[in-house]
Amino acid sequence: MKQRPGRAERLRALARESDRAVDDMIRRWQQLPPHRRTNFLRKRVGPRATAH
Amino acid sequence: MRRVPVRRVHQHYTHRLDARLYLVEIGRHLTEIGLEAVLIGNAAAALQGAPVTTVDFDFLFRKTPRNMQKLKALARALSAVVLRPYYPASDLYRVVRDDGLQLDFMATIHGIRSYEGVRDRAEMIEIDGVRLRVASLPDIIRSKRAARRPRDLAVIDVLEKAHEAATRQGRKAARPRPRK
Repeated sequence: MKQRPGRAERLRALARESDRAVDDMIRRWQQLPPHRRTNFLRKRVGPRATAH
Repeated sequence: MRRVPVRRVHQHYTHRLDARLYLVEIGRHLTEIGLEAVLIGNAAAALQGAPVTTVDFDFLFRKTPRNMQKLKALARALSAVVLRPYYPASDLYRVVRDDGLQLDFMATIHGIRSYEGVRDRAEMIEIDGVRLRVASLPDIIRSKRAARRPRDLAVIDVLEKAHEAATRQGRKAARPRPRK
């Protein structure tokens, strides 16, 4: 019977998932031509806070 | 307490996240006024292919009496005001407008020794016919690493990964295709 992965292994896999998501986000962003990479502005919603 | 309609809340959090109109407006006035400045910081990083966000536009410029006049002219053209630096030695001139537009013009940046070097390595990016001088990712990474503020250090990893990916992509594009 296959053993359930331990906590350390699950955390390593979680970190890999996170890295993969970042790589994927970079890949998708870089597929856009430079003049279309403009959706990067966060809006100020108060004197100090921001949204997004 | 007055309840805000759901639709308005939705707009409040989602509209005007696209910086295109701001970039076109800024670039057009910079060209008309003849103020040479290099876009740096997260806005530049985003245009160079790093998926990061920002609330303002940072520019590196040469602080000369003529450029200071041009900066005031830029603020007038944008219907904005130039705020004097709180610490005058910082050479930070903030151009702000009522709608939240904020441009930070800096003559000195951490990790950057010469304006000319950044300008020469910068790339001209055209948006809707307006050309903007955008700092290279290595220069942006260098400045953020030297600044060492938590918010700069937080994005360095993404910037470096984006730079590696762009370099890999560039190498792949430059490699000649094997003949079949």
